[in-house]
Amino acid sequence: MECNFGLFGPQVVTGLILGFLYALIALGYTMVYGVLKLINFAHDVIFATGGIAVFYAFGMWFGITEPVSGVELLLVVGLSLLIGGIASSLSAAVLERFAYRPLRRRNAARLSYLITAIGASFFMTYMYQQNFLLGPGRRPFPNYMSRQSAVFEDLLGTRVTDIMFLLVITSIVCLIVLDRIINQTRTGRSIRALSEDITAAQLMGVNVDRVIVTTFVIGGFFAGIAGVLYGLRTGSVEFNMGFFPGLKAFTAAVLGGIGNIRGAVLGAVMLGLIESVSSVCIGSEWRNVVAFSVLVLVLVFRPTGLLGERMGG
Amino acid sequence: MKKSRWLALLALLSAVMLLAAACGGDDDDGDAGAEDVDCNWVIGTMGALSGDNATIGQPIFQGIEYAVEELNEAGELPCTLELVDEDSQGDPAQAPPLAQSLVENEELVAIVGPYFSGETLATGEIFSESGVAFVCPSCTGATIDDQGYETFFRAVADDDVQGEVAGQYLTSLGGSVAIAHDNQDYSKGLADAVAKTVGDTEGPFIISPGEEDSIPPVVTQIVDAGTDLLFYGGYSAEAKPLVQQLREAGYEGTIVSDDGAKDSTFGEIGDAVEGLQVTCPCVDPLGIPEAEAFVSGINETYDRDPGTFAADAYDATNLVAEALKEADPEGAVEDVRVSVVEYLRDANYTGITKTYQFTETGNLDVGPEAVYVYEWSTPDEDFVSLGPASELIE
Repeated sequence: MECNFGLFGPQVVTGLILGFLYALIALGYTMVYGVLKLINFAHDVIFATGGIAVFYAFGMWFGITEPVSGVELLLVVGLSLLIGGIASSLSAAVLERFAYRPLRRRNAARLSYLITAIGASFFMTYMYQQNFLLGPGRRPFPNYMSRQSAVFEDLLGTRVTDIMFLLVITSIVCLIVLDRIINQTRTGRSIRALSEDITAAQLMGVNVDRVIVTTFVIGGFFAGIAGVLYGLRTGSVEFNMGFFPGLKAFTAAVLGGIGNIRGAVLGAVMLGLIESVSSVCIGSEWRNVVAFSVLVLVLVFRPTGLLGERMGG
Repeated sequence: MKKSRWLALLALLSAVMLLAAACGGDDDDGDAGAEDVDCNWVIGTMGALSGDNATIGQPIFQGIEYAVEELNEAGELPCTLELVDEDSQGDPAQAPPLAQSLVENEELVAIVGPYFSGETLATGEIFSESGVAFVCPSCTGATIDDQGYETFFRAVADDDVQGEVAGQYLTSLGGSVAIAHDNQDYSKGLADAVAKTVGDTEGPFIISPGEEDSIPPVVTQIVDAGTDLLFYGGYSAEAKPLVQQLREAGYEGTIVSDDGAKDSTFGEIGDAVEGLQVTCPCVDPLGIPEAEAFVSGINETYDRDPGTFAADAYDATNLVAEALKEADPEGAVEDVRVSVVEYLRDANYTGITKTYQFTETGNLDVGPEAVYVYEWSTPDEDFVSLGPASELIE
């Protein structure tokens, strides 16, 4: 298939939207790695938890399944993002408390963390698959935002719906807020200290346990928001909805330099763009091949990723 | 320390209990045999009873289950029928061990299934080698009959027929055509056949099954191609978000899909479903006088109208029962399996939807008149038959 340059604009928009979603998820991988040198493979389920929580809260309990508008819309959207974020934060905190902290207390080997993370991911995914929770199929996400109305009818040749717009704006706000937290608050300083040298930080009086939980909670919050946005965008939730986005976000984090927050954002946006543009030029069945080739190439020349492994800005 | 150890133990215990509960619910359900008949024959079935494609698998299963219940009530068969089901979720990777466990059942005399083409290709060898007839009520993949399975029979027209008819139908609607599919056996085969018949098409645009993120770039490409018509080869799990996102992105062409997308739950995507058409070699039993009892029976038993392929699956089961009428109840199960296959080879049976005669390769001996076009015209309703495609083309 020839490269259709007329489609470049629309695919850049599509790619950016995808990239920002990956970025929100990638933050959690990269922060946890920065602090604990642990790849939290259960982060994909923490992401899914956000979407699933709103599916229950709005779809089942509040019954907000019709599109609303005006001030009401702002409130409902804000509430849904908050619910998703909190649910994911909680699940991340529980995960840290019961799966990882016991290992840390016993100075377990790196491999034990890894297999615990994978185990926790499978455990939670297939709990969601049980019939008393989501069950095996796809479930419709509550339709509280109109899927039809668009902010821009034609931006670089793409129709940008309200949901896409929300996704991008929320992501940018979240990224700025996180950057502020990490670089300008006391908590942020503790997190950075831990990522430099955990023993030294402890000797300097940093409460290591509390900072680690905080890291999980912050990463989980953003993943939860991403989960809600993903549910809105695809119009459905599913027990294993986190698998591909999680894998891609992890890839993005490595691409940008794992442990590095700005790197994760850069890697995510790049990955989104590469996937989307290669769909036009080579065919969408090739997009994973292209994306992962780029990852390998980057790592060959820059083994620590594009921006290297350093957390602060 | 002590407390956390107890908590860990508690978590482990509850996990084990959950697991046990989950496994316990997995038993095959069969009908208890009537007491006055002292022999038992098992009919096996396999398909997507849960998972993304359960909404397509369940109606087919209902057609089969209803037929078996009816046959047992009528009591015309020498032995009681028992239906044993295996849930493959429609996944070719999960199907082979399930097929193996079916053929190892010592009372199994025939299979009505599998439901999808991919899983049929993955398991055909197993059924064929054990000499069990497998009458597939809904798999339409064009390559299945090329595999040389000796015991394969197909109760519907295949995708060579459907693809050509769908292609002609698109041509008759007039305008430019784009093709998209999800790269699975069935979808690609059908989409290729349509593209070949239409001739000049845009695409194919390919999405990855199970990967939602692969849909938006394809949507952009289709909207840009701006064709009057789009043919999508695939199943409803991906067709739903695709159609929804296409309409959101402002695509205004007519979308035509296939039997894999003819799913009563398509209404979930709201107004975007309006005007969606599908071609299907399945017969709509509503409005066929011979099928009235079947329709009201399904209504009563399952509290719904018969879904896609339900009537065809009902016919396929009755066809197998017809074969069993001539089998020897005292004979070894291997002999019964052989006599079912032999009967089916020369079958000339008229069910509620159509007449069943098979070609040498096990295909149903029918032409383009066996393919229908359905349209979803009002958001809150369901697909409605527009009639046989061959009539609409004229």
